[in-house]
Amino acid sequence: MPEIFNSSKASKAGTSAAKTPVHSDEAQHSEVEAVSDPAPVHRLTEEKRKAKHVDEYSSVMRKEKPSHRVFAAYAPKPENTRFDSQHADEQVLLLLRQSLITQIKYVFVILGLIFVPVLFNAVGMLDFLPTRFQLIANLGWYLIVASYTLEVFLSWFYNVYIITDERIIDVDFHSILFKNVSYAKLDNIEDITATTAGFLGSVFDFGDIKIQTAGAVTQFEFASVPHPSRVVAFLNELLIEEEQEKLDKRAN
Amino acid sequence: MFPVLTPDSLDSLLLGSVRLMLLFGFLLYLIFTFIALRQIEIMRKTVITPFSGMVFLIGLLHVLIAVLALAFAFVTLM
Repeated sequence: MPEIFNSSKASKAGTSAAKTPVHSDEAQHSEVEAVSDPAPVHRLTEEKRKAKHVDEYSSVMRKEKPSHRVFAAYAPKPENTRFDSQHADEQVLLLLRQSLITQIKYVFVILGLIFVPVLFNAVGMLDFLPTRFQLIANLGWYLIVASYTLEVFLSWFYNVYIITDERIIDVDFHSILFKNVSYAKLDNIEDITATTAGFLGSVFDFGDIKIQTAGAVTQFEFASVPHPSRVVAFLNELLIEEEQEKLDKRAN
Repeated sequence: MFPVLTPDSLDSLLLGSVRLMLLFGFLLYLIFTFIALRQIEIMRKTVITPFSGMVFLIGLLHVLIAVLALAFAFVTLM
């Protein structure tokens, strides 16, 4: 039921309580509060709205179970996942990463890098060096490969797109020295476009979502995320809910 | 008076240079692991997940491996 009806009921209840004759001291106290300060009724409605679970207004999220998987690229209602500037009453509804399929190219690169010393030894490129020097050179190479693997993993794991009940957040870490976090309120979203392109994108259902906003950052791009059409449907439901909240506020 | 360059002295000069380059590379790698650890710290504070603690441990392990590798390289090459 839309909140506007609930809130009208609540205000009616408050009015009738104010008019009902009371006798005990406690009841008199509550009557005085209800008459002199109509704000509690409004606050109650606000609290109700905030407490509204995403499943109540989103058919997309109703079908999804809360995600327990730490390495999920598509994590609806993720548990124990937060971000640094999260508000106390803000809920993370969807966390997205690049589809795992897009990371396969890095796996091949890493496998290739692992075999480089084997190739060098087979050709005898380091034969002019003593064995202990060759050992240390190989060790250094494998350390570089290990750190590259770690960087690829960190880059995938922490470059996330978060959708909350208030905002969308794009967290970008380019290389290891550059961090960029963009926020946009749901109110500021103007246009959403989903693109699924290519053979892999069609088969594994991933693609790009471009979100035009009216804020300082005018465009958000969720690159290569899983189930783009589902994400767009969910964003549309969130926007409708935002509109509904605005109407409720005006009605109050 | 310039020192006379023999094949043996050229060899030792070359090996000495390679030794220095390798040790310098390992030292740079150690510095890089500290920067990576700092970056992990920033990342795990930006997005908090149940795996954040483990990621930090991986970063620490990375630093430890770099220290051990530098020590091993120093002992082996000297």
